[in-house]
Amino acid sequence: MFKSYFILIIIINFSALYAQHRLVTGYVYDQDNSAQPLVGASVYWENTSTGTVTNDEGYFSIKHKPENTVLLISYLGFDTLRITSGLDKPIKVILASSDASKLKEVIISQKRKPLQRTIFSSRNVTTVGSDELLKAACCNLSESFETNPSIDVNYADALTGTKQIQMLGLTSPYILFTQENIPSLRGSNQTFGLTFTPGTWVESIQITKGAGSVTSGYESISGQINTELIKPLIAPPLFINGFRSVNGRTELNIQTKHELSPKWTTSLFLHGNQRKKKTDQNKDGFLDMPLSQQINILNRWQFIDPEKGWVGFASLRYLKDEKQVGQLNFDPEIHQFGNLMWGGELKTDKWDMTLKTGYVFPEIPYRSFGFQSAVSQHKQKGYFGNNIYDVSYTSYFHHLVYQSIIGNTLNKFKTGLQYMVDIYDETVLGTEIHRNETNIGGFFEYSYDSQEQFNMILGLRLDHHNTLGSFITPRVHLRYALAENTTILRLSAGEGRRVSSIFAEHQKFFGSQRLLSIQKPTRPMYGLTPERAWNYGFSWIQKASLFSQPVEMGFDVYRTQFTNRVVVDWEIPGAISFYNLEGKSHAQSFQFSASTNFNERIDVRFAYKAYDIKTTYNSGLKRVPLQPKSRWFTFLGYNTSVKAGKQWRADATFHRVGQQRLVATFDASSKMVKGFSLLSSQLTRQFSTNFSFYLGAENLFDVKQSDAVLGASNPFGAAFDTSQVYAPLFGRMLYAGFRFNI
Amino acid sequence: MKIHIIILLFLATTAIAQTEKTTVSVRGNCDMCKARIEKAAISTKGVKYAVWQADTEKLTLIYNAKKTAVSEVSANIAAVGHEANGIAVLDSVYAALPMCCQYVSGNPHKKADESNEALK
Repeated sequence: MFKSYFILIIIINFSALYAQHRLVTGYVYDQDNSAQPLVGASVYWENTSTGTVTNDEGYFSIKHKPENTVLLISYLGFDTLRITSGLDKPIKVILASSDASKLKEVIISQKRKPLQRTIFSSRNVTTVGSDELLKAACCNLSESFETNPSIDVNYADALTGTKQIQMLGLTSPYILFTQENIPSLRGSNQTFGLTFTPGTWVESIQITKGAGSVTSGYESISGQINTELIKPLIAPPLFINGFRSVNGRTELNIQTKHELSPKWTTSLFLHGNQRKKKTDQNKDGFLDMPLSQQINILNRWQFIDPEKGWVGFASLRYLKDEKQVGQLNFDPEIHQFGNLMWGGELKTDKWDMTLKTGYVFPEIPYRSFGFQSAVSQHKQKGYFGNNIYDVSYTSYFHHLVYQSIIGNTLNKFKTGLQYMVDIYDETVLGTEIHRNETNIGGFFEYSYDSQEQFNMILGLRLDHHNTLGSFITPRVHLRYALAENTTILRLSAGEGRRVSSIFAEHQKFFGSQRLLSIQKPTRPMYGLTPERAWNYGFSWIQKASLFSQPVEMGFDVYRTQFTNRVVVDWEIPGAISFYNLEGKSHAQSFQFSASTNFNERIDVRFAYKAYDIKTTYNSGLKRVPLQPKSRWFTFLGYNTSVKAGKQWRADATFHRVGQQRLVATFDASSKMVKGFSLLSSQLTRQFSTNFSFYLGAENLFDVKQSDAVLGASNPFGAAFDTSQVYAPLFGRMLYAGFRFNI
Repeated sequence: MKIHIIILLFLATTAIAQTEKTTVSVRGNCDMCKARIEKAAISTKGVKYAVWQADTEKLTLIYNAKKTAVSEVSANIAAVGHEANGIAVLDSVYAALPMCCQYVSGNPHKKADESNEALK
């Protein structure tokens, strides 16, 4: 008996749930009885073996590889449906038919979800894909995190305009930054290193919350951020990007590639930026943003021989960066080291070479070797007023890793050796300090992957460091999935240690007349003990459905408990001191987040974060200054469907930054400062697959901190201080740019 | 001392035991079949690696010949519903497979007319 069947199929894009494969997921219903899902309907790609059936709720998920073009959905008594268009990207389909022979389909193509939280990994990893990176039109890695709820952005100081990245309530030195798994932001790179990677070079970013992997080192405490640069093999032959903002920032990126042979590809990345315009929106007589220029050149080589199992990368980079800060009329030629005008200059020269090779045994696919080697030199010369700080940092990094299995491929391990040398030569206010650190470490990481409910990673490393001595670093990650991956629970714990490069990490204090107090600056580690902390975390991800839209909710709590810490104490006006922690220090964070692809083209994200960050100072246990108690985050994205390569994309990001504690000044005692809100927005017009134009605005509410430079009227007086910055210095800012590629 | 243990572990796992590599014909259609076949294979004691490819209907197997044999792995795969190395599947087990995995009646993942062609 044939009834007129309405079939309503909603294929909802949860999209790629993990990095390599996209997933198309959705529900299949019988529209005659729309409350009744069709259980056991077959969903598969035409001419492939990839397929699945809907479950008790009519739900399915299916991997989407680029070669899959036609999705077929069949069920007994219904006509088989062919979904043919819009499948290059994950889709949402509402399909209805009153007559089995006349199928009407409405297909709305939808972009893949650009922020992907990995559900199969034991670690709490979020991948920021290239689509997401486009939302941060400007300009370098330090600005690529503003649409990401896991990362907070702070203002480093009132001079350099540098932004500081923070995770779980701890700033960047406690996060391990790696570039293609090679530590990249160590030593003297800490303060400005993120601004040395142009955003257009970045392919994706992986953010791991909590303890990282022992294979990357012992240093990650609150998390790990890995950046993957664009690989020569997949790069477009030519890419050009230009950017200009009303505050005078101009950026140009040119990227090319050449295929030398089927096995060898090379690409050249050129970046230049400049700011010549002097701006002083908060009317304190000081530049809001430094005058700056940068040249950054990267040459990469990629080698691949799939038959023999060899892969390799080599790269060479050179960077030159110059910044001028201080009073508007400061002219280095005339006023340098004088006491008429206050100003400063920072000149950085950096080069690095990296080599990566990997070998997969052709007959034994689960066994591989990898070797990475990197050498870099970073020289920074600078002065802030009459405070001179020069640093030269040379680093050698060698890493050998072997991967195989124990018994079978459900039990994998990685083991290897790591050797690092860091050589520092600093001149701090006239005192020369030489530091030489060498570390050799061995690591072993076991992972159990049931591919179903339970995953586990156990890691242990043993290091021998010339000043830290020998020590063990344990890390544990557990994952448990319930109800077919709709509920995921994770636990992690791990210890981390590091040597604090106090001057390189806290350069902002040179931009003040604070008197430095430290016991033994020329001793190893400046006479301080190494920092040591445990990080514990729990996270819960829940996938649900709201008005038949997929909603992902996340809830996590992390705590970092320091056993040793270098306390940076600037509680007393006119003074700055570094000493070992005697007492307690912890950073605790709570995050609730929710995201959905509402309707077909609207992307909504929300997050609330609460922080409890306290340290025992000489003057007692206090909330760490300039750390907001809470943050609210909302993101709204909208895009039209792609028609003949044309598309509109728009987004808006709202941040509410909660109360922060300010340290005491000569004029005021320590107090809580009110929160503020920031709104930024961007509009992109894709004219064709080759060309797009974007227009954006930052800080639309025009929030400005007027008292960023304390004692501005007398920069050579004791009250002068540029280190207490809690809000933007520059108000509303408009920018525009284009992207062109072949 | 601990360094030595790590190095020992490293060497121990590099040493190749009585390892053999082979391919086995296993009937099946799709990724659901793939998960079922691979699980049955890898759960067999002595199997180190098992990857099944749908387009060729072949299972690549790396196993310890002292602990297991291809016939044992094949029997375990047949027990979950997939004809392996000619070992037949019980009708009741086969009937319990999801529709898309019922490889005998053709592969629904291929175009309908192709399957019909195969049936003729």
